[in-house]
Amino acid sequence: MLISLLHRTTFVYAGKAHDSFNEVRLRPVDDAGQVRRSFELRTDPAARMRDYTDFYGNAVHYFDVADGHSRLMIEAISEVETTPNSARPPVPEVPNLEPGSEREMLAEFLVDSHYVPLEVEVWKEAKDALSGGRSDVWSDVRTICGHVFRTFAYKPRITGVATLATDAIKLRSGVCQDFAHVALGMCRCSDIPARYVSGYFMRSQRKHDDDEASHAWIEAYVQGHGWAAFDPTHDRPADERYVKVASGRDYADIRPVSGTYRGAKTRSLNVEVRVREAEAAGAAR
Amino acid sequence: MSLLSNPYDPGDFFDEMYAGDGGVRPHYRSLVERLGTLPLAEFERRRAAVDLAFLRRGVTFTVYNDSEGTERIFPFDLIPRIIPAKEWSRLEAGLIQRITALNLFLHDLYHKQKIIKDGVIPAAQILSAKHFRREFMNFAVPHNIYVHICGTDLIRDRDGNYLVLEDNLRCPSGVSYMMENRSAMRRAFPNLFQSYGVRPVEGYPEMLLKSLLHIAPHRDEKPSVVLLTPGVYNSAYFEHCFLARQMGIPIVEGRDLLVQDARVYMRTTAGLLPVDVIYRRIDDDFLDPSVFRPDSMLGVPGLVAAYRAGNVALANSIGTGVADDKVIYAYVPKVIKYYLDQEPILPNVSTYLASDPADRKFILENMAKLVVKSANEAGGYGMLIGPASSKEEVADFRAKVAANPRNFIAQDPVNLSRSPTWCDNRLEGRHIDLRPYVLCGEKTVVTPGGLTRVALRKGSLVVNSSQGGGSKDTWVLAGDK
Repeated sequence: MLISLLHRTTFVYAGKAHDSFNEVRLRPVDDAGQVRRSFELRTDPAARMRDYTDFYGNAVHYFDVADGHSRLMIEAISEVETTPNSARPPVPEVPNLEPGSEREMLAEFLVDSHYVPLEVEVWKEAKDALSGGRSDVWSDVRTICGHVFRTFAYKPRITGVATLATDAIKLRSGVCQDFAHVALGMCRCSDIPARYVSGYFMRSQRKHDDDEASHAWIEAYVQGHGWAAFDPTHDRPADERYVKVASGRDYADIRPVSGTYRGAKTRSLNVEVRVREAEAAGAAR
Repeated sequence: MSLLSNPYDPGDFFDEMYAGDGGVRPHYRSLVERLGTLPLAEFERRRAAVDLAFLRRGVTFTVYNDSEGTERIFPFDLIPRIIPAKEWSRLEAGLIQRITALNLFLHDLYHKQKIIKDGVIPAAQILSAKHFRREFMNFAVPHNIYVHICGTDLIRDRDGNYLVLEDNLRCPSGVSYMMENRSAMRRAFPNLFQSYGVRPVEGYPEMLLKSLLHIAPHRDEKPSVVLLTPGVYNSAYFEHCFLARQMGIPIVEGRDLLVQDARVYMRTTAGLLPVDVIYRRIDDDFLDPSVFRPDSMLGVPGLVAAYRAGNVALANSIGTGVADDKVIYAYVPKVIKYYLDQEPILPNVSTYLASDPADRKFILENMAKLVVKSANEAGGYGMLIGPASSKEEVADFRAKVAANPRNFIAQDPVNLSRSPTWCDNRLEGRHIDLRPYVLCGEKTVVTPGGLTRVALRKGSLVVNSSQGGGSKDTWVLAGDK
């Protein structure tokens, strides 16, 4: 499926901002599940863009705007072709990873991370979810995510960008980011290596007033297969409608836009995301 | 009556001055002769003069977590710690071997990670290390030097063997005390130095500046070097000023620097001046709020971008803390063997890792007999000395270790060597350690001397200045006595 994406972030400052330094992770990845056909990143005011690849293979672009400005716009436009569902290999039914070198390399996806403290309540949540006994690793991941989907309420504006998995468990509600963090904690407490994925999800049926936004889900490591993606917010594997941008231990590793500036005391933020199936003409281009 | 009229009992410890039979070791004999002729009143007079000089010169440090929140004078003991040439040359070789291996290790960790692939260190230990900076994978640092300035803590066991207690590879401090102590001693005992053949330590700032110039990215011009300090509230602010003055370079705070188009500039009354090398005394986390801690007010936004672009050099580099993590410390002997194919000249203190199930069981069961430390704290904070702790303190620590094993290690207590120290009008044995300073530039050099810290409280093994320690001048001799 060919998907076109627009992600526009606009900061409006109460006064003038200057010495603004920013890092963005907005470029969709190239992997077995998708091919990036095009990617453009621009800012207003214009800035010289530099980039590097981070530890998890994500592209990071960074730039600075030194002169005074009252508004900063960051716009990423890309086109991604996702692998059709029919061409995706099924996830095998295998037991969880044995100790050994493969597991060693995944150590950081088994321990706590900033947004995913492995506290007792996370461990209990995982025990509850898997109370029927352990199965193969992929089934366990599905069980865990299904548990989160059923026992947590999707409610915007209850949680925020700083909410930890343990906070979300207390509130039993949140948005995709919280669902992902809780599911990650439960997987890790169950000894399943799991990581955070940021990206976009294309709704096939879109109501006119739906807020579009970026999305988040998880990937769990399945031996002999690699990373397999599951979306706890919608209780299903990530398929051809999902575009992956970055992965890491949790949200802290993949912040789409982060930075600092001097000057103006406050600012307002507006994020506009558009995810569309590209026109056939676009596909041929 | 003289200082030495009633020698103390060395007891069950290695004493720096007295040999087992009660005789004075050869390299201390001239000192003993000299002190023997010095009237007590004269000794006291010189001691008071030194104390006053320290106060006037503002040789202080700050104690954190203290309700009085005070700056204090670093207590100084007039009896020097003496190291003969033969002993020192072994230490020097051991320190150079260790830092050479650690720099190779850091380069490997941030590039191909061969040491992990070859199974020498479990990947999990690196990936779970708090100071492993993923952001700097595959980043090329100038001349592949990660650690330019290193302070290694050494102790001696009951038999007088030197052991490495820890490596300080981030922002080691204390070198200014090494130099201030020397200058105080030169004034108190001007004649003793010439006859004794004590090697000078005064060359340190010049060698430090040389190492910093070595990594300047723009070799064609005269590079500009600055010292970046967190500011006056930092415990080592005295040292920051001292070193900047000695090297003749500006001392700056984060707000004095700015970054434009990935180039660092210093704000001056004459406009913006470019900066090529930064001797930073700010931890990684606080260097650049746009990359690390967003709440840091100490750093310079955009500094990391300029570093990445190769337009500015940092000493030490970012991410060196992974190698002085106390868990990784346990692997350093293997690291030396792996990269250099040599046996370590200076051994480690035997260490148990709480992350290892068998070791953890041992630690939890024997905690009252062990020294337990958290993996990433320094300055004597966050540690338990089992034999000197109450039952409650031990129980508290046991829970901490059980909850987060990766964060703790334990060591057998070492009976640190003792050195004669002036306490309440007589000489007594007090426990000491030694922090020599290693610089890596075009060459790797160890300043002949270091900071000898002394635990002034009777029986105490904690030498940290923040915990009631003092210091002594450290004499490395050109000969063996």
